Amino acid sequence: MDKVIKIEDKEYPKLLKEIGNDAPKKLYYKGKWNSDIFENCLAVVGSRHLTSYGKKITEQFVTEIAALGITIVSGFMYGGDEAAHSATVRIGGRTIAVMPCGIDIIHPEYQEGLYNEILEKNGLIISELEGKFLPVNWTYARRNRIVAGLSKAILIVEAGLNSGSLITAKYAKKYGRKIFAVPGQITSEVSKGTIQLIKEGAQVATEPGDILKYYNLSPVKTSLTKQNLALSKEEQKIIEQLKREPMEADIIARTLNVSVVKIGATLSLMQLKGFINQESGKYYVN
Amino acid sequence: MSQHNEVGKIGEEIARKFLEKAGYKIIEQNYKTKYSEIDLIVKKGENLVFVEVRTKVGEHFGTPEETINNKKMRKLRGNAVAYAIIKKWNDSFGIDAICIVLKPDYTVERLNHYENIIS
Amino acid sequence: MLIKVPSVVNLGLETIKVDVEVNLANRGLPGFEIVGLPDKAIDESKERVRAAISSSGVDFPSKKITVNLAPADIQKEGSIYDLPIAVGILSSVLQFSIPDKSLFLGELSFDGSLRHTKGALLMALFAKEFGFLNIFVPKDSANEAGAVKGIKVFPVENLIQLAGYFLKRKNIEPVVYHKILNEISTPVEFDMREVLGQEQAKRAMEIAAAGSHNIIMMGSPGSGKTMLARALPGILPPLNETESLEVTKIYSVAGNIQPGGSLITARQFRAPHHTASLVGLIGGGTRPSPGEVSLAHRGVLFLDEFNEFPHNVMEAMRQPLEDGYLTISRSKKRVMYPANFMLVASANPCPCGYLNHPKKDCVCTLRQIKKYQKRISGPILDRIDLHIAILPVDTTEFSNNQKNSELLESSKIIKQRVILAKIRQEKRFEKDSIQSNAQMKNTHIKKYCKLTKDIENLLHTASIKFQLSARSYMKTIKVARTIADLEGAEEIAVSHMAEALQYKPKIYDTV
Repeated sequence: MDKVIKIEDKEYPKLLKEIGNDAPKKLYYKGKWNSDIFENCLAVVGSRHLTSYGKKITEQFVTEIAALGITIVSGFMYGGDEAAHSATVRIGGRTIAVMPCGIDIIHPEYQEGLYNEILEKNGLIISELEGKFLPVNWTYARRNRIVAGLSKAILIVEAGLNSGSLITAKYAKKYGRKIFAVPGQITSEVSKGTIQLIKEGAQVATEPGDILKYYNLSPVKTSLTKQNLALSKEEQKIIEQLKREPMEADIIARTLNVSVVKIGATLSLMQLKGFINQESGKYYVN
Repeated sequence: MSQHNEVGKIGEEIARKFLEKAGYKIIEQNYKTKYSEIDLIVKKGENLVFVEVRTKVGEHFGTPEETINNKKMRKLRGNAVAYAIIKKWNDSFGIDAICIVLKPDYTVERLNHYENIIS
Repeated sequence: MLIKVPSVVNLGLETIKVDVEVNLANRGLPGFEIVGLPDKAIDESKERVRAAISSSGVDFPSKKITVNLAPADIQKEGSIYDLPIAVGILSSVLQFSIPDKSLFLGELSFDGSLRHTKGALLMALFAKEFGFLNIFVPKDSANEAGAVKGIKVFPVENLIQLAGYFLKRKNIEPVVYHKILNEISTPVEFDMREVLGQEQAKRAMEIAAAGSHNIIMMGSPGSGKTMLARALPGILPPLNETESLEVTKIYSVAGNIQPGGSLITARQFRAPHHTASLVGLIGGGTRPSPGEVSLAHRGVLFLDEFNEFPHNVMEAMRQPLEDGYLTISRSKKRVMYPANFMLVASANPCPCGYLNHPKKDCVCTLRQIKKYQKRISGPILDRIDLHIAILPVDTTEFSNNQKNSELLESSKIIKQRVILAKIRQEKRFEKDSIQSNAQMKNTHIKKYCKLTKDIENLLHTASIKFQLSARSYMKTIKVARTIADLEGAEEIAVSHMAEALQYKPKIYDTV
């Protein structure tokens, strides 16, 4: 017995109905249907070729937003969608995954763990298609309209030009929903799409608060405690350098004209004390 | 499974006593919500600290420190943020870890308190 | 008439005596047969011996000649018995006697001259050990044999000369025993001073050299990984006497010693391509011959594009990396070759190669990167103690000041520190069966790497912050021990451990 909500049912999500003729006549689902999950939805879409920057941003934003009770809607694709769903379930929030295939298939199938977690944490899996309908290129675009249709606003973290994420943004625009885009490096392929959106009028989002405001919620002002241990002279010099520009060990050694033996030991200790971190080979101040 | 929980509980008690002795005020112990579980939430002065306790009997099968991996740390951070939001905590908070190694008779071999493990 | 001409066979590095029995019978049809399980090359030996004797102006006897290579059940190599066979025949024809306690080995050319032949050194060592006084080998192979004291090594140019010697008409001067020279300055491809930038990488190489730690470099194409690897032999101490003999033996058996070449005194640098065959890398084949891992014995084995090497090859490398030798099984015998080398591996950080490149963008997805790095894991990575990231250096950015800075050390200076560190290890492991810090097992670590409480706590914190696995934990301690040795410190200090943490595994590391 398929679980299905028809457009004429009173449980059918209001916002989705508002898109008019485009609205799916039937919604198959897995999980426990609960109308309040649709009250405050934010679509979070991101590139399949998500970079580590994109992943970090998605996690940071989604963690705070979902923690305040907003439902995260996405498409369960690997990359940006996966990061959004994962961050939500990790914090115990609710997320809706809209599938581009029949309700009885998990696609991509290796994300089965995440699929089950979404349901465990009171989320929903939704599809317009029944049974074991396999995904094809047009089912993705159709799915995107549902993602946009369910949500008050959409957040795009990374997107290439002509990507699926931009299609979802287009739908959001069509349905009059608010569009938030995160700027990235202008040379990055996966930021070209988000930058285009910004040029076309999307709102720039650089912190979760930018989006929470739209939902009339105030962001958490809390942050991690800063260390207040004393810094040695060498450590101070290094911090000054890194504040100007994150750099690799070799370059720090060269710039400060200190042997890399000493620098290496100092950098390790500073990392352990929490003053600096290393990412992508470069050290930066915390 | 019961032994595992027993060791964990003993460790949490030891950690709690240790923190109290060090001047921390215990706010919550074994804080469980439908979202998450936090071992100890304590306060020292104006600082709110979330403490994860890891206990092992002997180090033959690895140290308790090793059990704190990236995934766990991300979860801890998420739990901490969630709690802070619910309790409307507007100041800063920290995440510490206490790793305990017990001797076979469950007395303490060593206890290490790591402050601010997530920066 | 039966003449016995003593020779040897080398099975791997094991030498066994062979008796070349030459019988010339007056009865029976003239003929020339060789028995004793020869391979095809020995059949060809007949042609060479016949032609060489004729070229020397001696009529090949029309008798029934039978040669037996005893013992019969050991597979013998092809061309080295040319000389003993010819000597046997000539001694009958020309009526001379072969001096007692002599060994013969050598390949003949059609014109009667002797060609450089494999294994002369091993025969010389065998001669010394088993009380032989003289060995007769081709002139071009005599120098390597000359490294053995206490025997007379006769360099033979051709059959006429040898016959003349035995007939006491000519003289052949034995090769003078030469001691190993203390330092033969072998041309090193790169001096560390020529490598601009890459400070941490150079330091990592120094640590690797000092403690014989295996090291892996991760970097984009063209970032300088190969150059660094090739500069490494320049900071390695020269081979000592024992090591030199070991290496020369292997090279002798492999046929890798140049004609006229003597002892090998420099650490060898081997860089097989990832398309090399399993046999080429590990050893094997019909003889079986030593592979690259043995040719790198006491030296450096550089595996460039490490992740391109097929899995079966990586699996086969387990034994040499673990034990320092290789066992190759043949149907009749088991051959052991030493393979105690320093492994230097290099790899790209991701499929496109440009992850974290300062100028080029990486076009790989996170998934691709994870998958790629996962492939690098495995039995070999387990044995690598040092991990270093290599980023390309823009040498135009270097001011003249920086190029002449004191901090830019030459290989010679670095080598001095490395040698001192090695001496400390020699002393430390005097009563143990290992020679270097890298070889330490848990028992050695417990004994020689006592850590203060402070340092233990540091390591524990690092466990959490850096996600160190138990194995990495141990590796870091070993590296810290070497760093302390380089500084001449008896105890491991916090600074040593802190620096050691810089070289921790940064790529996918399973526990």
